[in-house]
Amino acid sequence: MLARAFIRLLLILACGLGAGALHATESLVVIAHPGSHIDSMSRAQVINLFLGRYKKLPSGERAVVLDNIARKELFYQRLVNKTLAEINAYWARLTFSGQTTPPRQEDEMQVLRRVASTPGAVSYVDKRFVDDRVRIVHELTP
Amino acid sequence: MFGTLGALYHDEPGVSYRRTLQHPHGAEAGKLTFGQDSIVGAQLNGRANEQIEAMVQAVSRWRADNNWLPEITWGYLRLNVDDALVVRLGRVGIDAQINSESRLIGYAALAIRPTHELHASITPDYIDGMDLKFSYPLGAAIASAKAFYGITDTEINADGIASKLPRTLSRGLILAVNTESVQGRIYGGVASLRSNGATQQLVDTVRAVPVPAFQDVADALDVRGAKTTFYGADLAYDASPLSLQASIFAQTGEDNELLVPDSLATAYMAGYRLGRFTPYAQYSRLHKDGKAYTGGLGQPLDNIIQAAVDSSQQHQRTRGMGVRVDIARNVALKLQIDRVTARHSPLVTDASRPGSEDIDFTLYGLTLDFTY
Repeated sequence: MLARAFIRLLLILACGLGAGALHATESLVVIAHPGSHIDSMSRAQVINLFLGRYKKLPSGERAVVLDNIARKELFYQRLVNKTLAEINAYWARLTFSGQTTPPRQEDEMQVLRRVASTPGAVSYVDKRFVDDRVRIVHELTP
Repeated sequence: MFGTLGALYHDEPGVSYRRTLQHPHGAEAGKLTFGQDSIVGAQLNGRANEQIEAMVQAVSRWRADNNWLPEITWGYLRLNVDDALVVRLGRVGIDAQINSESRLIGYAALAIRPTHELHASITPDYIDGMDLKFSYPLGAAIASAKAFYGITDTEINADGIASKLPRTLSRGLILAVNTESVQGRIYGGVASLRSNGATQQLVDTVRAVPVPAFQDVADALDVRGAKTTFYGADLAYDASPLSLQASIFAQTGEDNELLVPDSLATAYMAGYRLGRFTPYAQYSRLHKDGKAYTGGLGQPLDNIIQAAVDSSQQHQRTRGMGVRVDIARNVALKLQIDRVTARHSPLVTDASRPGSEDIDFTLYGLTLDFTY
């Protein structure tokens, strides 16, 4: 009985560590509509867009910023080292003082479809899901 | 929707503490008070097209006339002239000091309440008028310039009676730069007082005596047409897990105005996130120096005028520490302990002590903040 519980605990820990390891190696990329006249974006430009500080792409085009619900926590942790709670508090400050609204929230497949079809759209996905419908403009390595 | 359920406690006999001048009563010793930090608000946003948006926000909190009726704190039409240029017309928040636009949103802040010492000199939460903001990339940073223009007409509670502050026309300019982790702001403006508010009766009483000395004092008490100049700077560093903030604010009135004091406020804050927990510490200080009244009109008028002059000054400092715990998505619990030292403060009173004596006591606050 005790041995079985111990094995179960080991399995849970192994799964947890495995998930953490997968999380740590996951490569996130910022993607843009292929028609956007940008080849790459700096980290500062990505921060300015996703934190609502500026609404234009480097090309001058109006940006349509989308959050990928599945990767949101990892994205903001890598981009600005902030937890989701900190990001939520940040957006509460901007939203309830009428400054700007947060990015639209979409799931990973919707994000890909929308970025592929919407001029000016930018978001982020796991690099493994990227295809030639979208353009990679920044990579957030672990 | 956003809100805060707050409990406040202190055990200093005889002392009454109010969070803002609007509150009709203060927290008393040995009693748990829920009215000081509690607030609930709701907001509606609408969009006609990419260029035109509208927003209305109503807030229910303890008001000067001792009720909790909702009040419209924001209501504006927003014109996105260009992605870099935004104009808002209607009732908008005053954005002078850092985060002053969002000072009612507990969940958005690290501490339980904005430091009174910094925010005291601009008591109103909003202006009826307009603001205009232009943003521009400056290398890796974003620079912005924002101008605001509007009227404030604020109700406060003085000595248990709801009364008006002088109606004021405010205009100002805020210049800001945001880098990845640093925000720097400088601002300045002018506030022109258009009415006497609660002191109108005193001005009328003094002016009714057709003697030059009385007329001179009446002129010095009458703030209609008086101007105050305000300016300040904020520097914030936010590179999670560490956040730091320093602010300074100054206001100067004209020399011949008895009831328009000069003030200087400073505030500092530091926080460090440890997972769900963010301990923080803050220090803030306010010196609002009243003008000298030499008397000469006889009693009881001299005493009444001196009391009015005294009430325009304030010396207060607060040393606080606390912890914010993000207990669930969009819900935070905060525990904060403040040591307050106040003299001539309209917020900290003790009927058994003269206003000129320091009142030193500890405040304990517990809040639950939420948004959704």
